[in-house]
Amino acid sequence: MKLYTGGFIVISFLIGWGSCAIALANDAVTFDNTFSLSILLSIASTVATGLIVGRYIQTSLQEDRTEKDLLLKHLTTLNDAVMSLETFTEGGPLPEIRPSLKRVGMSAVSVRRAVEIVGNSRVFPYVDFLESTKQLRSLMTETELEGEDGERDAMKAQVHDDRISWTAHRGAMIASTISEFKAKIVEAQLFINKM
Amino acid sequence: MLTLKVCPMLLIIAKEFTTAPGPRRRDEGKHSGEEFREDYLLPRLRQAIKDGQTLVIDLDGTAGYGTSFLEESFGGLIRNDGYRLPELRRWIEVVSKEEPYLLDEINEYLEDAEACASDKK
Repeated sequence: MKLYTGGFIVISFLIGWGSCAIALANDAVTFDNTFSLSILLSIASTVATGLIVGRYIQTSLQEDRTEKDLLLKHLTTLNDAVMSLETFTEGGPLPEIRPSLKRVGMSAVSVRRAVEIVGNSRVFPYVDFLESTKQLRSLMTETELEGEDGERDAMKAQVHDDRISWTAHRGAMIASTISEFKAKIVEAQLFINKM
Repeated sequence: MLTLKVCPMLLIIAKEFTTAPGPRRRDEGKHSGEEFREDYLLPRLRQAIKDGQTLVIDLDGTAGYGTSFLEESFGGLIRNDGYRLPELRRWIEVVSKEEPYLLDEINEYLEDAEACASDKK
């Protein structure tokens, strides 16, 4: 932060000094050695205005960076949650799968809310993860209705003693959905970083 | 003596049923959607309709819901218990601050079950 402020002061000084030097060199400005109160007031007000504008620019740049960092942090949390599902691509205990899916869902919601608070509409298409969340929830926890025929045998899932198992085809679908989800998160991270 | 009076029109799943909702059917594991619907949701719904009040179902505070649990709980009201979508919309309100997307999912299960029921007729 101190380095940032110091840099800003040095740059401001160099710009001011440079423009003065150019103006003097071209005879655009001539010095009158007498000082009056109005000149002093004029200098003071110019310096004060410069400081206020500089401070405003500095604050707004810092806020932008903080917002970006916050969004990226949310996306990292979401990515961690999605990665935790990779343990279950061949099935597993439902009491472990459900909390992991809830974590993904809640992270997706919090990313969306954070973007809404920041109010940057350009980011919205990149942070819409709810459809992918729903797809994963369905693939990892949906079982057939009682008496349902075997039309969807390739996608069949069964639960015994709170443990779900599914066909290799369904496992492959889950793995590819997780990969797509992670790719979407990377895309969102890249977009936010470029903003 | 201080007694706690449970509001009959509010059903908080985490407090009254379980914090770890289970699979679809009773034979698949503990705290199934079938058990929730038959033992908790249906009696409360009947009471709510009888009293002319909306039944508010709070989904928050659990470890998470599987798709089949929710489908069996809510879709099952139409498929197994003979309710129709308009009357369920009139008497049931599902709320969730933690997972608001579940409300859309439940609505889809109800609509699918209603479509199936209409086809059978």
